Amino acid sequence: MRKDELLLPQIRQENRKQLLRLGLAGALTGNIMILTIPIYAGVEGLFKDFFLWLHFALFLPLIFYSAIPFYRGAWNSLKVQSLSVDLPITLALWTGFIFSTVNLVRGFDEVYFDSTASFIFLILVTRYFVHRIQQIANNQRALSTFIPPQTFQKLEVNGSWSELSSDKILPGDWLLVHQDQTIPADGVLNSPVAEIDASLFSGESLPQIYHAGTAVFAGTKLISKSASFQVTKINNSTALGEILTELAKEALKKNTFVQLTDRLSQGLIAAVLLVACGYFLLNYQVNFQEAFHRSLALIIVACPCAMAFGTPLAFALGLRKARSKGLLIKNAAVFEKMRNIKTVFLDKTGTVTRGQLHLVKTYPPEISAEHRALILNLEAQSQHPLAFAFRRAWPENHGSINFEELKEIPGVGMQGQINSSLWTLETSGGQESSGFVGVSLKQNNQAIAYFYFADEVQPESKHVIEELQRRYEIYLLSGDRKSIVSETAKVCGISDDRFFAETSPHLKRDIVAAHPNSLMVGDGVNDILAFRSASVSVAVRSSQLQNQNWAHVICLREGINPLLDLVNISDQTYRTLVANLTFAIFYNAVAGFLALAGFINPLIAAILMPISSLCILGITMRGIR
Amino acid sequence: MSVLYLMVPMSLALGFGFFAAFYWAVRQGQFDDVETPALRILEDSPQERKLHGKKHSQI
Repeated sequence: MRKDELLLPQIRQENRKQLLRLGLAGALTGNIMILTIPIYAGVEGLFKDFFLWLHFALFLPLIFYSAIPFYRGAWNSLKVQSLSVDLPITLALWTGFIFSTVNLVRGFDEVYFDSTASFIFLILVTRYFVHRIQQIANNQRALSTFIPPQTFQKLEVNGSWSELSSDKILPGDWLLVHQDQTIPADGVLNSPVAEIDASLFSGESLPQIYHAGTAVFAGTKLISKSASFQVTKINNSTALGEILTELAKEALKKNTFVQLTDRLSQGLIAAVLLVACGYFLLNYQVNFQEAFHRSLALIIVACPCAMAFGTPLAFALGLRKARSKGLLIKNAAVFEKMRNIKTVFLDKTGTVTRGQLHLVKTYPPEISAEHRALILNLEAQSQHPLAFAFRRAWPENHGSINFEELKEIPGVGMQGQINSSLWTLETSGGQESSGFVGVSLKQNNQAIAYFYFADEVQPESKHVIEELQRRYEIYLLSGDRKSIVSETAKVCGISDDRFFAETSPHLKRDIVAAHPNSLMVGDGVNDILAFRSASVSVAVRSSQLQNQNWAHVICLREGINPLLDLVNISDQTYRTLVANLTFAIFYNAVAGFLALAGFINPLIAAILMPISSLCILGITMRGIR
Repeated sequence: MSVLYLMVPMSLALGFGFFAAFYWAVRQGQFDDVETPALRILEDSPQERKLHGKKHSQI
């Protein structure tokens, strides 16, 4: 993906325009600042007029070009009959401008072009910064971080190979991918065998053996020498792209905290404007100049800029940090919900355990090559863990067999017909207390071989569960047999009354629903219902794709370790939000009072206000590092 | 003091010159993406890619 494609053209144009506005404001403000020195140094007469009129000339582009976004924002908010921070900013700007111009013409001393210019510049700086951080947090670039720019070879119609860069791939292309390259699009494997690291999707830490005809996904990595595949879906319609698009869409939907700060800042703007107008009306007959100064200072200094952008900034930074830790969070509301979590439900298989089955023993001990080929071909299309376990057990190529009717029977296994034989690969109850997963191969419903698989607990699960137990009640939820779940619970340090075995997806949902404010961590399709009744749901790395669509949080790192990061980042974000809000309210109250009391004149107010915004920026950046 | 009538326009011209350079750079898209170009060095160079391509297409 080239850099031009990282952002939509109109967004890019808008960014450039904003940067120009900011750059112009910076250049002019700097010049005004320098040219103001002679005035403060005390020049008189002709030179003073010269410098002041120079200020005026330099100020014009600022107010007529750089400050346009404020007018637009103010107008837009008025159109929908609400108040935004742009309104007091616009008001302060123009009051300052007109006031200074009038004084300049009349030859009075109070000319504030310098402070008004720095006011515009500093607010533009904070705005631009916040804006870019939010853009980076939500934008589609994510896809390119998973798929680096590469060149592939494309099979042309005439049979020759041509070079093709990854951004020019179209559905239907036949591509040759080399070792270690990231597969750039969804497609169907054409080479007989390929070894692919699909850990992004299936979570399997070891590369998987894929056979011809299996679907391969963008973002997975080819481990074997080279392989060809036909592209079916590209860019945002790939499985990975869809998830990322959904993430971007939902990331900054308004949540209660954003709404709270919105309401607060609107209330504050209304209050500030009312108080300023009221104060002016009550006092202008006493001392017009002083009343005007104080109300103007109040409007400038108490403009709730800091409050208005502190919250979205904190959320954007929280999301960005989460992403850098390998957590994709769909909605920033997750940070808030995390505060209330009391109970954590962990799915066993694939979450606490590796979820990676390996063949432990078979009956009969030796399986003939013919039966191996049968099983591998039955499972060839399947992305089921057992299918991978079989491929792992017998990685060599066994040739292909065409079944007349090959179908997956959910919950049972695979079934296919050759000539008169009906072959079934069936997950059986197996040996009840052994803790193994049993699979049987049946010919015309007659079992001819048994396979036993086992799953092991992730190495870090115990530690993570111990950490989490300090704050939450941990339950283990599993569809597995009681003997296996009990064993896992013991290994992880979960007491006997804290696990549920042999739970159906519906039962899982009911258990989770019975505990309000619960966090559900899972991987399989059987957790989807539970996900929907939990207040926060986390899909661990090994999750099946459809599951990731339902979860609030998707982990890109192995195991349940990311849970600790999720808890930490949520805490940090929340603390930062509270700190921001406290600072903003405190600042507004104190500065507002001082302005009315006459301790802050408009000149200082115009400096203080942007500085308060920079403070919020600092608090937020420091809070969420 | 009247040297100011020369110096001030000169300083303004200098400032304007820098702004013009900045304007040009923004229009060129120099600031569109300040992160990924740093990673470009990690990509294969065109010759290397060709080498790899030949090696593998013979397989």
